[in-house]
Amino acid sequence: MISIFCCCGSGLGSSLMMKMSAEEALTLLGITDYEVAFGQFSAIPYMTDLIICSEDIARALHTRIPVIALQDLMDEQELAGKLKTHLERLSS
Amino acid sequence: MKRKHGTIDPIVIHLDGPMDWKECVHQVLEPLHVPEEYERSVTEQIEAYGPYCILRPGMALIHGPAFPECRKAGMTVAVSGQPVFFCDKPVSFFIGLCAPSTDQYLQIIRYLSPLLRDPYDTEYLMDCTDQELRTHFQRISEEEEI
Repeated sequence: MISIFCCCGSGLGSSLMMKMSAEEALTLLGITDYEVAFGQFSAIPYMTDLIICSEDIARALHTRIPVIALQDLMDEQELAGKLKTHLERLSS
Repeated sequence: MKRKHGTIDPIVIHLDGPMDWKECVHQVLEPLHVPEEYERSVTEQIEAYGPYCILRPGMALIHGPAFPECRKAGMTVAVSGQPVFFCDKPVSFFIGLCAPSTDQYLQIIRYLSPLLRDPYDTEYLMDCTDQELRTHFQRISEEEEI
């Protein structure tokens, strides 16, 4: 199971919106074995496999966890494309 | 168990003239009569983390944490004739939000999210009349049951 954490500055607004985008994107990719959480970028859970956030938050992160940085937080297509690339890289 | 959520009547405003992003945040939140501390927390977060409030090109969600001193949940929809620059990113369409509890906040976000996705991108929303914007975002109150 892949564990994804969507984060933003406040942990309420855009992070929840990204979680909803991520769930749509995972459905588009036919992936069902996942969990997606959301919150503040200062509170990333320990067992997170992948972080999703805006480009601005990505620049503020100091982490070894892979990060998908989004230009458009509401675009499932952008996120699906980046998720697909990330998952293909993991499986190769 | 279900109960009706409070109604959100979005306040539509137009921002006039050139302004910096802090003045923009102030004008977007002012109709909601939020405490000064709430507005300050919003600007401090943007200063600290950059313009993370930008949801998509040209569109930003101006909000802070749940704030009990905000007596009720409220929303503004603000359109700017001239883009306001958050760092180097131009923004012309704003949603301002406040809510007294985290539960209310999250409920609003869940209903707001599909109203900001394609085809309702920045260009679409900027072309709406004030009444069309009110109708569009009043869907948040019509469908609320928890």
